[in-house]
Amino acid sequence: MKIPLMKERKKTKQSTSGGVIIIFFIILVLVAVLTGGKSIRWSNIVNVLMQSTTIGLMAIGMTLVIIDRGIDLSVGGVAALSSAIGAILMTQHNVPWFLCILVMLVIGALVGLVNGMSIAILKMPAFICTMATLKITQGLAHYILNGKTIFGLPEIHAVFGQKNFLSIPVSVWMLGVFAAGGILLLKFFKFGRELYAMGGNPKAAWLSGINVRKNRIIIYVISGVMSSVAALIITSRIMCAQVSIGEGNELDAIASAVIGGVSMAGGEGGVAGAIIGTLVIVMINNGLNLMGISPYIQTAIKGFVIFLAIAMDVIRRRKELAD
Amino acid sequence: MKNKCLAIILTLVMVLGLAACSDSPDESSGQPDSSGKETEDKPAQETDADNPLAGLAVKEDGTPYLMGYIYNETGSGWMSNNTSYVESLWKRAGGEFYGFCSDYDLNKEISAMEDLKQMEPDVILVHPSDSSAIAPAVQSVMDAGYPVFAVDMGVIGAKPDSFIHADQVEMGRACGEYMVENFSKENPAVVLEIAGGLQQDGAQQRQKGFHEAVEGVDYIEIVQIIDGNWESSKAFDGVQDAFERNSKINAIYTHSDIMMQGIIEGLKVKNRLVPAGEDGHIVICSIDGDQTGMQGIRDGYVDAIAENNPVMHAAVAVNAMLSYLHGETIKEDYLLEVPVITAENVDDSQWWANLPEGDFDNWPVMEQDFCPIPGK
Repeated sequence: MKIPLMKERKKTKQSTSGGVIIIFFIILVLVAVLTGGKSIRWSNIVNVLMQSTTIGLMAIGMTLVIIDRGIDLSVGGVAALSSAIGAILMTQHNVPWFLCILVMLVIGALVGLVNGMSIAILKMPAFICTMATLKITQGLAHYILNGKTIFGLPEIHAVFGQKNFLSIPVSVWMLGVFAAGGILLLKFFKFGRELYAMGGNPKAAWLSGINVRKNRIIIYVISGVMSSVAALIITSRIMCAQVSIGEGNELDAIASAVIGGVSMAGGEGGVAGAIIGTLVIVMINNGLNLMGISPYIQTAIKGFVIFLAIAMDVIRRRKELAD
Repeated sequence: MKNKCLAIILTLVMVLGLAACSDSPDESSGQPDSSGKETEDKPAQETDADNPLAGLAVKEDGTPYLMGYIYNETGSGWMSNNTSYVESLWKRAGGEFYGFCSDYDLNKEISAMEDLKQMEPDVILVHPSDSSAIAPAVQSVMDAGYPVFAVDMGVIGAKPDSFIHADQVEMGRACGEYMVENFSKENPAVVLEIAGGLQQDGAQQRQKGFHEAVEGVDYIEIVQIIDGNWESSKAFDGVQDAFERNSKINAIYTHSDIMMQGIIEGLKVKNRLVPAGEDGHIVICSIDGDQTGMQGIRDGYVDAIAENNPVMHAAVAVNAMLSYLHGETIKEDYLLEVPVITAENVDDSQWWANLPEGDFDNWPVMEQDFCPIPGK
């Protein structure tokens, strides 16, 4: 069996992003045609970007985790718990707003730390460990909110989800900044190169002196913080906290990363691809709504398009490898 | 050794986190957990002279009647109020209470039925996820001799001893009728419907009632249905998409107040949030009547809500179960009213959202004519 050289593997990584861009443009054109151009109006482009922010942020963290052959199922739970605690502190305990934001971020970091330490040091399987923390965080959010919607958040909180800066929503700027950070981290920092090495061959990475444990803990902490940032945006958009926040988001974040070319086998993919993957998912949702498709069939269509997109990309990549 | 220490530390972090959450302001509500274990065992207030239920859930030999309540979720204010008030009333009557939450998982719901059977309850109350699918399990416990009462959601294919409900179709119809009355040929309605989870009975019935009420009315057109799945964030996105598609929308019908905050904030972002009485106001009709919806009416953004009262459901269900246990005749079907809340009556004290929040044990025993307290 021929082991791909580093040069070849690098080429594969780059061309994966190219693949998702092709899929993105196919869906963009298709939706534009089927909606009579409504989907490519500036207001709808902003709408799609805004809807992409929460899943996009979670997908950034998820990408790092999956590159390291891991998975983080707790992202939705972290969002729910951060929202619940943040909203209660803001509305019922008169804690200063910026402190509440800090607490929300710390919650994400703490859950990420627990995930990371359990997986990196105790060698717990990532799937089971993060599923357990998903249950814990969701359960705590349920308990804290007791079924209630916590509304009446301070007006300043609307800044993340409802305000614009240079005609573009603040949430989109936030996604842009974090995505750029993720891309830079993976491309130009030692940490990023080590992450690919860990995903490609963890044992070889360890033997070459990479601190696998430390890096692994860091990526789960990043994933937790990204989920908390997503929670900031969600609560800012709807100006309330509910137990349903974040429900099912883990699957969308994983799908975004995979559509974007992140390999579940690890060591491959990038943040840019994951963001485009998120846009693909949101564009499908948005396009179906703009077309007025019955909600009874929307889920099936969405699943079918995602399936098709991934199948196309896998076939294309296999062809490239064969060439 | 190092790993063992770490495992202990991580466990402690989790435990401390859980302990911290026990300071929740809702601790006093005694919300039952999803594991089926009995929650905080408050002493029944049998000696309280003001407690008309005192002693009614106690057998002649002094042991309490055991009631098991299987419900489908804990994520909404409706269910939280209903389950907590049922528990509070039952304990005030001196009974023992067990709560099981299925989280919309039919398997869990059926398992809970089986688990309850092992506990030999005196009465079972059920709020199923799916009216048809739960029927064999209900029939099985009834065949084993246990009385079953259904609340809010019925059972299709088995006949519980009694069904306490408000008509979900009627709730949708009340919203439809409000729109028929408040729009006209000169001022036609272009309606966006934000549905609940359309795979669920409740959402389908609420949709059916609304559609029946506006069917054939030529000045009301439902231009889009979006599944908000009982989530504010999905409702928010749905509003954005719908107004991109059709900016002429001037009315919104939503299946529940649980999605109201997303709708209001979504309209705000679209610069379409205008209070009633001003040009450009979008008429909003909803169901349930929780605090979010009531605040929407007070702010002038929400026009009408068909109330679905969880507290009334709880009061009637508890009285019906107590009456059954005391050998009194009960009805097979208790159909509750569907009043409409508007700006004129939003502050009336009879609405469940106007009761003191979370203070279930201090709420009065609700007086109602549907099913009186046994022996009174």
